[in-house]
Amino acid sequence: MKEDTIFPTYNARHYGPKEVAKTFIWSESFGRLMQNNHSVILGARGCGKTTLMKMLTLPALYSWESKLADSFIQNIPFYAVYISTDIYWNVKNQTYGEQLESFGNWSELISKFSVTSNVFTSLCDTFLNILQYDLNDTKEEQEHELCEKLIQLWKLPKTIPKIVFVKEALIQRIDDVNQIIQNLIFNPKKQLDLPYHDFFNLSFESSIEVIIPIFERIYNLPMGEKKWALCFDELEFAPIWLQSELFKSLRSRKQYILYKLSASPILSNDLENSLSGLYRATAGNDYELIKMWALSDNQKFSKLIIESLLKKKYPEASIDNFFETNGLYSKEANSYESGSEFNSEVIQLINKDDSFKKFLEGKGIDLSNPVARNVHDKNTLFRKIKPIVYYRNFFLKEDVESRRSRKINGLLSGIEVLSEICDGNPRWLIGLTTNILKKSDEYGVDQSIQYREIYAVAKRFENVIGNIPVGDNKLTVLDVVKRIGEYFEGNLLGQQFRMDPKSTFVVDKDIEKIPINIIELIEKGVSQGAFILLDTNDDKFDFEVRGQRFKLSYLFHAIYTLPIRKYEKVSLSTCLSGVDLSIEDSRQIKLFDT
Amino acid sequence: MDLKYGVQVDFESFIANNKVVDLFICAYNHEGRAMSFFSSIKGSVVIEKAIALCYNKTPFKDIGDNLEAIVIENHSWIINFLEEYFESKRNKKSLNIVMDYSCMTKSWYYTFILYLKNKDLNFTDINTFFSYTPAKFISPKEPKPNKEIGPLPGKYRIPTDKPKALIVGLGFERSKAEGIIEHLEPKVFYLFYTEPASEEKFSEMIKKNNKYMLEKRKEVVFKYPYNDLLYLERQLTNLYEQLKDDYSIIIAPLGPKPFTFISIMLSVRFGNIDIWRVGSGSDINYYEYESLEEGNYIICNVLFTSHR
Repeated sequence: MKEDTIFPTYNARHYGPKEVAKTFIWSESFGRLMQNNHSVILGARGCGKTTLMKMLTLPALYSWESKLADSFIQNIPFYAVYISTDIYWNVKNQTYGEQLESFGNWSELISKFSVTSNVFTSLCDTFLNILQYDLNDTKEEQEHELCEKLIQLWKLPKTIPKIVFVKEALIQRIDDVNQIIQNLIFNPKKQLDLPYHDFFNLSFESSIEVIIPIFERIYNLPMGEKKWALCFDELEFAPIWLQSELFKSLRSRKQYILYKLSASPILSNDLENSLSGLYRATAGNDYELIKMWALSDNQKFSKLIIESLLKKKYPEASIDNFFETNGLYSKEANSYESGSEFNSEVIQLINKDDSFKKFLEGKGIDLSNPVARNVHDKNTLFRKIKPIVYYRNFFLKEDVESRRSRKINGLLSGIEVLSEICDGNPRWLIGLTTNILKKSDEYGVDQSIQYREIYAVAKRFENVIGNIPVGDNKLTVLDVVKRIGEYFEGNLLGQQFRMDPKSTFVVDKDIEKIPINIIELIEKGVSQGAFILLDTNDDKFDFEVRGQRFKLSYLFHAIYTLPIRKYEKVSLSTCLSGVDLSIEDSRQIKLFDT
Repeated sequence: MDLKYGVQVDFESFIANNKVVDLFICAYNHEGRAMSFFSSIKGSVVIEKAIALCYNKTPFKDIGDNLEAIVIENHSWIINFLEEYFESKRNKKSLNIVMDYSCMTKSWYYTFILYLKNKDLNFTDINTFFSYTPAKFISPKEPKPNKEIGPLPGKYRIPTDKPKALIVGLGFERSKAEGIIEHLEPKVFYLFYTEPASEEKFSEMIKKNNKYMLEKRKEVVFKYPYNDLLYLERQLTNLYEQLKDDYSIIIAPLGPKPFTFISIMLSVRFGNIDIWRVGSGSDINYYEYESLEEGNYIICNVLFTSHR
């Protein structure tokens, strides 16, 4: 597979379903998405939503080299129609939308036309896939009959009655409309003189409801045996009217149509209003809600990704031996005993950190033999303080020679770190693992290489977050990340040893403390994976970041020298205290402004 | 109107062949080169009307030289001005217009060119000259945060399911190119930069500030001489021909304005090219560019003819 990225990451958007299938690894979320019901899958950019959606299609399932594939092909209860929305949709709402504002509801007409056209072309692809993979002995007359219907119902000009030509005619019509609009922008007409075509009125929902039974009749498919799933990917880019319609459709329209929707973790506030009310759809009853960042098998899934990449290069290698385990996160029972690596770290820290010494004394620990006296000590004290001890011991000042003798590599390497550092985000994890493997040999990979690559990926992620456009904000998303990261770093490595340092934050509800422009930055950061929502309710959508608890992406923990752990929360306003949170002058209301 | 042809002309032949200019448009700002081209031609060419488009914060009262200053708030003001101007010239069949875009923001000359292409005008032809004044090197400043990444207004495109191909004209500020590549997530991308540039330091700085990309992705890098518009146009057109069937093509001109100009002309010629920008809003870095040398201008003659 070849892909153009500055950095080696993996982006399923650029691959056809067949290519996506080549590297696909089954996960709990895929099992849930395949169920015979509506689904909503939420997650940040790069978390694998597109891969899952594309894997629902026939070319992907037929190309998937897995023992599970045959069973899935036999049992998948629907035909998936994959519909990609992309960043252009969102742009339409902004730059382009403005240009058509003066034409009243014509701009809405065009917006609907463009969505409908894209759904129709996707449906054409699905029909072609069914004919290729699922049906034997189809006749040309059947395709002719179908296409005659499509041409008639979609109000297309006379076209050769083959699906590929119908699709071409749809694309040609999009181009024609583009030209009409281009002319209109510079030669505006009065409302009544605006060009109007019957096909502007087509609606994909009602049209598909008509066409699917026709397709099933023509190709003798048992009516109702399989449903049809409209898979709208990356809905955060879609116009709000479409998001609203689709989320309302989760209450179900026709029995044979399912909706599979993917979007960012935080849904738009505008959507919240349209989804409220007595008859709104509810998770569990009307649809399956899958929050990608909160899945219980994320670490296991990450390990499977790492393992599959490792096995491709070194089929005999074992993941634990190859990357080694990290003592800091090791769960081995003897890692807390006297003479263990951790015990040595504790003793070193006692010798240079008075606050730690006092802390242990306060807990009744014998400083001459600082080990757990019983299981309770181990579970409630030593296990909790372990990463903090390692980090403070490394970063607190000591004699230079002693510090040189130890390497930071030990803090950021090992399979425990690798499988957590990307927060279950396959795009970054694949890039990271691939880079590490490039520099390895069959016997394993040095800690220093793992550390360097983790840090390099963290800096690249930082760069991506730093480039998020911020509108009128004076601060960037990265400015906010930096302040939070530095606050957490200071809390962990400050003068006072804390068993529960701060490493998560809660966005203040008070608008006086955190103004709306900072909320916008948080939302953008969540969408890109810079901030990870915690304590989320599995049954409900999240529309608001206020009052919610977040952590930084673990990739930022690599930059701000924080352990891969979630600790206590602090308010965002505390992290940002002293920062000017105001917006740029241009957005402030001016006197006498008209 | 129809875009008939474009040809690069040198300064001497421009002076020799254009005795009368109906409309001269430039942008006036803090840059030392802002009036360079105007000053060079005003003694040799009769200029019927001269307009200096000003940014809203520019002190423009002392421009002089019979230049009429017009403050432009956004690109639609350009359209309003052109509507009025062309209406006042409706009895003429042909017009000779010069636009010096050296100090202009992209959206202004993009709007001007799109307007000429798409507006139903009654002229037989409009002969345009687009001039650029190369500048002396100034070190780049720390890049300002990206306020906006999006298409330049003026063109409307309904997306298809084609993947995106992004062509980036590299500038000398750090991380801007990476910003748009990461934001747009194109399936393929290509990088263009000037070498040789008007001064070697420009190329050195572009290479330094885009080092990672240029080294990692050598196979997608194109170099072009700063003053050879035809060479650049051929390179971009060849690339367009290779990409057009499989991709939705976006050009992001972040670098020198002649690259932006050629990109815009191609987007006018080929409807399926879109132009995007990485904007810093009003909080931009200001560079006090001075002219490289008198008489050194990059001029392109573009003829628009009536399609009636």
